[in-house]
Amino acid sequence: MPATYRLRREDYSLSEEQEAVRDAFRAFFSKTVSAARVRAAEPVGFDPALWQELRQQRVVSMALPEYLGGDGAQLVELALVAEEAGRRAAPVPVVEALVGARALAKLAPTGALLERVRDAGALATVAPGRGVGDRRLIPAGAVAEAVIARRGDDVVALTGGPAAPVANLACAPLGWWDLRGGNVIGSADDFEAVEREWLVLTAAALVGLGQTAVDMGVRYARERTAFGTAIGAFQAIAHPLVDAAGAVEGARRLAWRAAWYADNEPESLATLAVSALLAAADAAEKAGAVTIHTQGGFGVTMESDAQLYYRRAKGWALFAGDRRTLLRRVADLALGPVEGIPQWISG
Amino acid sequence: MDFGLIDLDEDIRQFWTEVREFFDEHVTDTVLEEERSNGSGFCESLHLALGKRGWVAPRWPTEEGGAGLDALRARLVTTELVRSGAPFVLTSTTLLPPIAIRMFGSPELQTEVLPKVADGTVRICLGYTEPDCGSDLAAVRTRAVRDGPEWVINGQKMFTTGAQHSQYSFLLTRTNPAVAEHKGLTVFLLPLDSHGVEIRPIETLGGERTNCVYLHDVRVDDRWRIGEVDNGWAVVSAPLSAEHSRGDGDYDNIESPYLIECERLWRTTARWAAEATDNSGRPVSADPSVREVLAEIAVAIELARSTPGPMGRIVCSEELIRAASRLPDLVGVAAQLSRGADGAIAQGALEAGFRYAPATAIYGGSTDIARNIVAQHYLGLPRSTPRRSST
Repeated sequence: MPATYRLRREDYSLSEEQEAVRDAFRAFFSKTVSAARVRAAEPVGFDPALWQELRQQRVVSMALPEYLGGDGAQLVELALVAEEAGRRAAPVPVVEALVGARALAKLAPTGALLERVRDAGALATVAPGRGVGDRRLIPAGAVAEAVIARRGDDVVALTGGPAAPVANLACAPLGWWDLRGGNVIGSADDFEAVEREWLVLTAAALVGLGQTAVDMGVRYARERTAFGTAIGAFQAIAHPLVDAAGAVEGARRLAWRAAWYADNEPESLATLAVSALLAAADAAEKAGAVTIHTQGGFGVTMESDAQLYYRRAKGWALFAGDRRTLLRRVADLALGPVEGIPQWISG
Repeated sequence: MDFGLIDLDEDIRQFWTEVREFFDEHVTDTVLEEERSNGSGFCESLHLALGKRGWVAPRWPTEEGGAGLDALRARLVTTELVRSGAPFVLTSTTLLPPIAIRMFGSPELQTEVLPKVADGTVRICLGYTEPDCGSDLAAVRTRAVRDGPEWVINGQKMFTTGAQHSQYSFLLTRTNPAVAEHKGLTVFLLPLDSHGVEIRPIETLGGERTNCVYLHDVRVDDRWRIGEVDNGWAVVSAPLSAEHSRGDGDYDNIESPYLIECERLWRTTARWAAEATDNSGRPVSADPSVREVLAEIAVAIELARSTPGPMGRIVCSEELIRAASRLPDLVGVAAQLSRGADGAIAQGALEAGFRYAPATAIYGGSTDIARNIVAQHYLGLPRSTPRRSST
């Protein structure tokens, strides 16, 4: 069959099981993670009690394959979980914990580290991006006892953490790690797959942040009155909220599409994982900025929850590294490496 | 959730081959060249050939003149129509009024018009907006006054694209100026060969031809009325909501034409960048700053592709406008050369794209209207446009 006789489905609907996963985690996070709890976990950004509660929801084991005692969830389901965590800005590194556990399951399934991650609540994180030098800032590096990283042509697992927390915009448990040493557990190709999962789940978490920020802005625009009317009746207020909502919705579906490809046709993923990360980062930041502006003076006070989301939108996106490097990766995938002819087109 | 390849059996592949051969045969270089020079958005020989196959309205049942195609086969027809580069504007607007004709038209009117729509001999342009209306359709002034069994119509309709190739206009008129504006409207299917109808061309920035239709004492029999007198708002709303949305089905989600144009411009520029060289003999596509711009647009296209409904309508045209502006910047002065000019890039595609893009955020309901719809109906914000004061 000629290549041009190809047609794809475009079905974004969730299955009943997927809806059940989303609803269960939405209920869990909205019950357990109030904005007060998010604030209380700052500045480090980690709530150990919440992590234990979340583990009781089988969050780690659901992500592991069945032959290792897990539920064998796919990335699409985990993206739903990550989005729900993002919606409440939950002070637990869900994305890093899930990706780290899955990386160990694949590359070091018999090691003691995986056992500790699965059974004892230990955290193994990953080093995304193509950072420079051996000393790197690692997301969840200030709470994880191990880091899985790419070094040259190898994937290495380093232990000896956690690193000391460092003050940062997102109040995220970032920490400096020296990436020398450790055990080789795989090759650069293996890391591609690990990083792809991190990109997709981080995109989903950013979508969750963005959605709550939009919802917050919309609620404020409905309730707040000025000049004798609800301010949401002014197009200068309403239209930016519409744009933010559209960006979040588009990014959500782009992240889902990337997750589906990663699960089912990783060879056809093309630019989708990096694109999802960039689009979700833009959407979440836009949503935070628009909501702060919608709230006016209140929006820039620390009392407003909008700042919690706005800071994390930028910070979580920066975990992925600098934008120019991410864009060049998109270009390599879309154009072929440097001198190739254009190949890009998804689907 | 499923983005997998659709399993195409032998029958479907055979059908696809037929569809492709059909468009290869009918969308000749001459057809494309004519469209480039007159921008009419319509090719009669192609449209009639589509009608013979039942492909003007491919999903209508065969007894109504359609081809009775399932969603997958209908998607293939549309996909190949768009891929062929054939003009399709009037072919797609013609299918909007029948939505209202089926809901509100008399059985006689349906019997008279719908089969001819299906066979391609009848085309219908949209007689909605007027010089003083813009997107505010409830403000139409074109007056229809009852005179025995007839109505006498006076007024002026703007942007009636395809009128010069249409047999009817789906015409929104004011029949009762005494009530609230959206309550005094009535819709007619006006035969355009009626005495007193004058069609004048309007040339547009993008090279697409549209029209102004003047109506001077046009007499139309009451049988051409669609729906109750003064109930025109409901009648126009049915096809408008179809025009404002983009589908989201498994098979019938047709990619936005604006997005397709955006991808074309991207590919044109990427191909140029791979072939053109800088002063040191390196391909332009090796320049990191060029790669970053192309990557930003590639990301925006993937985002737009994923954005549903009226939000997708907004983002598809606005990304097209942005890309049509940024891509020529990568090329430099030669990007502005027109088709046929010495040294034109891809036959002037970037020059044409820059002119084409802005209209896409206006016609079919402007992006501002789409934002109002999203604000009110998706986000639950208060209505932003003032309510009319008259009763």
